[in-house]
Amino acid sequence: MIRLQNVTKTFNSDTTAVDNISFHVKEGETFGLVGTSGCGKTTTLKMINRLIEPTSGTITINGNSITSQEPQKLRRNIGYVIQDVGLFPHYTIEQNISTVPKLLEWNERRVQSRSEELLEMVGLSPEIFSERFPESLSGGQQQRVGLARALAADPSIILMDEPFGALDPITKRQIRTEVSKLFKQIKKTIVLVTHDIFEAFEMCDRLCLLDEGKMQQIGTPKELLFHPASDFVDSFLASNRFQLELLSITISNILKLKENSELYWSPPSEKDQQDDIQADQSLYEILEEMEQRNHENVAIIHRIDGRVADSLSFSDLLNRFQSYKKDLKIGGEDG
Amino acid sequence: MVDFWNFIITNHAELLDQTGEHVGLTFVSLFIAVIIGIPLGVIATRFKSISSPVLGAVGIIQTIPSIALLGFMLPLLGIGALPAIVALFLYALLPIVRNTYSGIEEVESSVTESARGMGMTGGQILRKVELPLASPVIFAGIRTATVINVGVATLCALIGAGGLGEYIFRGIALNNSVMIMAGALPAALLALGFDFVLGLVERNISKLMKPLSYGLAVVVIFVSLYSVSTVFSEDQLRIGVPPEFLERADGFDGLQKHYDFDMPVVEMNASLMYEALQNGRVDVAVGYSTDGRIEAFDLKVLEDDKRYFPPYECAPVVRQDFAQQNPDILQAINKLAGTIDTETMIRLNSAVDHKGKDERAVAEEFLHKKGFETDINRQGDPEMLIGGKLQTEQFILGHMYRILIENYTDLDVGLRLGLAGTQIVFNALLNDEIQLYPEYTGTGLHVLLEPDESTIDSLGNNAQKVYRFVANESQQQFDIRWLEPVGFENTYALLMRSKQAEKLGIETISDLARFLNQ
Repeated sequence: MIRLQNVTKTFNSDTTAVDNISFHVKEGETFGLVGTSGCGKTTTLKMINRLIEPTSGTITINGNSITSQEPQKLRRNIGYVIQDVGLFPHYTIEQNISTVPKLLEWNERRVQSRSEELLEMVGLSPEIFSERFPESLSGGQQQRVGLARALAADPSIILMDEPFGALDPITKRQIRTEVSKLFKQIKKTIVLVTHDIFEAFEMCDRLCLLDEGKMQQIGTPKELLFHPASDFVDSFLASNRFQLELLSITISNILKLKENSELYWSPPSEKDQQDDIQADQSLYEILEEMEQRNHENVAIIHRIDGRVADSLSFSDLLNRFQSYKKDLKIGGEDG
Repeated sequence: MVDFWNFIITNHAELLDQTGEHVGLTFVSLFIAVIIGIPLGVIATRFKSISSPVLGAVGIIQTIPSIALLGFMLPLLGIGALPAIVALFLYALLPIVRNTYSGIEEVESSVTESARGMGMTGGQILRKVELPLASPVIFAGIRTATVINVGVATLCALIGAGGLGEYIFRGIALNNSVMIMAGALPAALLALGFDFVLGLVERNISKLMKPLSYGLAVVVIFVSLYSVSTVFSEDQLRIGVPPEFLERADGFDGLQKHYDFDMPVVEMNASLMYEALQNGRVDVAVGYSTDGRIEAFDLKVLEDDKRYFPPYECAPVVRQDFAQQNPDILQAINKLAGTIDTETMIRLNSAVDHKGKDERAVAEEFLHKKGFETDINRQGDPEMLIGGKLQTEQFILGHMYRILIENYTDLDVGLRLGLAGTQIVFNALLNDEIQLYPEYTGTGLHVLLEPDESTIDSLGNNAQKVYRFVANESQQQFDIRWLEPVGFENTYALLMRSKQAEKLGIETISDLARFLNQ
């Protein structure tokens, strides 16, 4: 959907911020641009909505060069979320969210109902928040509004630049999870810039790791972890390797799931928690939940056609995880 | 206090006019400054390369003393409301440009970035984001500019633009504190009032933004048109009169009665009168008969055919005690007695005013030609001070006396020239702050001594009788001694442009009165 070809950006004719980058973001995927600060990831992102013009190379969206239309028109069809949110302090929340629809000259009623719909979508009550001003909102609430504003005109592409960077760890985690879910529902093509590798692993389908403006590797989180293209990629991930592995391997990877497999916790929870397990949940999430449910006495039950095929304790999970990793490295393929 | 209220009540009509002019000057200039200043500030934020030159330039304008800025306007724009408005406009520019610039610069970059990222055009970002967010800061700048302008506008009276400064300067010239107060107090109240109202507006700017900008524009345009029309509209012959002449007993009222005429007055500083006349801002001017510009600007002195103006022989006045202690100084001073006739004085004045020569050089050259010693020029601490009024010849005479005293006695002489008004110089002499200054017999009679009308009538404007009367009375009343006259007479005179006088067939003041009464 978004295609960069040999894109280079030099500033002041001597600093090369982005050096000959090419990649293709597929429709509906979440694509991460990852790297240390100053690696060129934000510059790359801003070239997609023409906040920065590339020095050379081409960028196309759905096959059309982005330079074929006015930058303002282009930007109105691309959502944009930044770390500092940048809500307009003199606009109410509703006016903030309605910015792009108004630029697109939607009628008043459509603008208003869209704004209410979006506030609901990002988990804020329109009755409470519509007429308030940004300064009265917490950082997390502001970022939710920022997200709603980016989604306002229902763009098919959303660019996000460290969207959760300014939030405290707890809020960050919470919003990140919600946003991941939301994005899966609404099927947007997302390009996410982050220096937080966990964030990238948790949210992105594929990643592009950059260093000093150069592309180091493009691939799924698992490919980067288990088949690093260079020593740089390997060392970039080294310090958090174990956690990242758990994040990138799903429960379905380590179990032989059939079409009518069911996974659930045993014993059932005393609280109102759901007891079934999604096949695409990462081992990290599973282990974390197991920890919360007191792992000594908890097991995961795998049923096929109603019959118990497997029962896994904490250590069973870790053993399967280890042997799966071994297979991965030998087999050279990923699940 | 009672005096003050009486003055206000008696002069309330004039005071209202002046207040109107004052508000007009302030707001016309402010309006222009807003219209030009805000775009200038915006441009400075857009093109970084010109931001420091622009801010620097308006900053430098602000550092020019206001009175000097008015002075710079004179050769370019003459006198009256126009140069005053231009000067005030330049003053108001800095706070407005600077605050617009910093107000926009202070808008958080994340806000403008997200605005750009959402697809707003440059103009939309400016109108919908930057200007609204910067508006409190911009408005604070406008508020500062308003208060500055109310203050500086008082100085505009000096260049004939009217306003509350008229009373202030007339009061200074006449040493009349009630009159100064009558100008200063309303000016201060105006400044406080505007500051208060604008402060209220500033705090509620987000709510008031739209109605305010339209309302303000309408009010400002209305006030501007009104005040400009009052300043520019008249097409009759007008007379320029210095503040001092308006108020004194032998002044303008007496002149109008004596010759039976009535004409609209433009009050302005005496030293600007000649240029105002030459530029056609006024058609008749009250000037001094020895002024060098009469010759330089081709002006005509109307003959005082009904002898209204008393003789104004110039003679040095000294403190009696000082004269007795320093007979040698009197000798030195008296060397000048009878040596300068009126034509010579015009020529000397012209050398300074028109040919741009230094007063001291002109004085020295003249004395040298007359055969006096001029070589000594002491630089030590002055042991006596010579005073002088604002007229050019007072400067020249002051230097002459200094040269003579330093060359013929052992004294070091200092100068306190350019004091504004007779009362100020005379009081300085009475208080022993100066010991000597050149005065005119007519001024002594009408301003200092103020005898009753029968006494004045008995003198019959005879030069010698007036000198004798003034010399005797000054000695008795003030312990002040009049020395021998210098030789020239500097009376008030009505001046016209020679060409216009010729065209209208006016030779004498009676001709002028006849013309006006047609």
